[in-house]
Amino acid sequence: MIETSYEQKYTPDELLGKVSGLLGSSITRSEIYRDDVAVEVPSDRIFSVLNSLKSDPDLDMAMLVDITSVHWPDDELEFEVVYHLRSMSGNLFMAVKTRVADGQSVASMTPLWKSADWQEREVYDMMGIPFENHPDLRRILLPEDYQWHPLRKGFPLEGPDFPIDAHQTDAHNKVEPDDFWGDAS
Amino acid sequence: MNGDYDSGSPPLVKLAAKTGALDILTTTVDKLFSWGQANALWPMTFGLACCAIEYMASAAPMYDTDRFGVILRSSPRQSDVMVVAGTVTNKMAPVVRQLYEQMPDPKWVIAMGICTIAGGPFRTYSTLQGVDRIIPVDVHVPGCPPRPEALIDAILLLQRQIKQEGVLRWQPRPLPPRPTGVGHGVEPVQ
Repeated sequence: MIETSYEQKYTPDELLGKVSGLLGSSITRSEIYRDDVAVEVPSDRIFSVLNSLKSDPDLDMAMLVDITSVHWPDDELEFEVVYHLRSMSGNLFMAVKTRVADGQSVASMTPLWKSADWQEREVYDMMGIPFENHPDLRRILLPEDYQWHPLRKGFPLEGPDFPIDAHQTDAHNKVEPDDFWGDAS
Repeated sequence: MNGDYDSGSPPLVKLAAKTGALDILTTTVDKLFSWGQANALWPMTFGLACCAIEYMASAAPMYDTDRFGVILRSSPRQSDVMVVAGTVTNKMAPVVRQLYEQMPDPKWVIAMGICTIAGGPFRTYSTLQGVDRIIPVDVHVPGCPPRPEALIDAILLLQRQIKQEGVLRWQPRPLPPRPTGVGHGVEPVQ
């Protein structure tokens, strides 16, 4: 019979202490929100940080669950890339975040995890963050010739090329405000 | 085929009814073919979103569209009806258009659900605002999603249209411009 343990190897505080001891001065910001540990590191160190988290025998963050991105248009480094890591042996979960400016690239994680390939392609597709040393950085969800990155905050929901005859138009064929969901004001 | 024939029946039919000797039925070849075509509509098996679930439910034993001669085929080259069931994205639009072009003539299209008809709630950068923009549609079925009864109604409507139009007089519908698969394929609005 296989004994299964669902206990986590470390409490959130212990995990953050362990990660802080491992990464040291690389961490610029850290937080524990509802028992979820997250650390922020500079973008030029992200590869070595994730490599050491993966190869550390105690933490053993062997699984890259997901790569997501957030757009903070008011900040100087407006794009945030979030790596969600999982330790199957210790039943641990944590997030590593990094910030880049518009047009600045992030190191690709494909040498560490093959699964990063399509996840980074999705981040590139929707948010427009390029990844260095990526084997095949193409769009994955949108058409390959599409010109824009729709998850950026300034992007209009209907897209810049929305067909004008699908809008509500007045007699002068001028586009009227979107009244599909009613007047919210 | 004996029976009551009114005075408007053709002379040969009246003769046949009178004598009872000749079991004949006169019709035009077009009507015969249309009758056969209308009762053997073979749609292509493909679904794009949640409408496909209702579409599958219509074909399953509960609603059983087989009884109208509607038998799902797995290839566009064996089909004569395309039921576009679900949201058509701009990326999928060239594929749908190619599938339509692969179907042999004569062919008909049923647009199922409000997403297919006009984009539905998805007034977005990625959604085609109506499948009319890429292929000619014969019957629109509104609903979100339409119930199987609505789809059956559309099939009966299409049968009536085929019988009225006549399958031998079927003309290819004017085709909209081919979708590029790049956004909405129009110049950006300012």
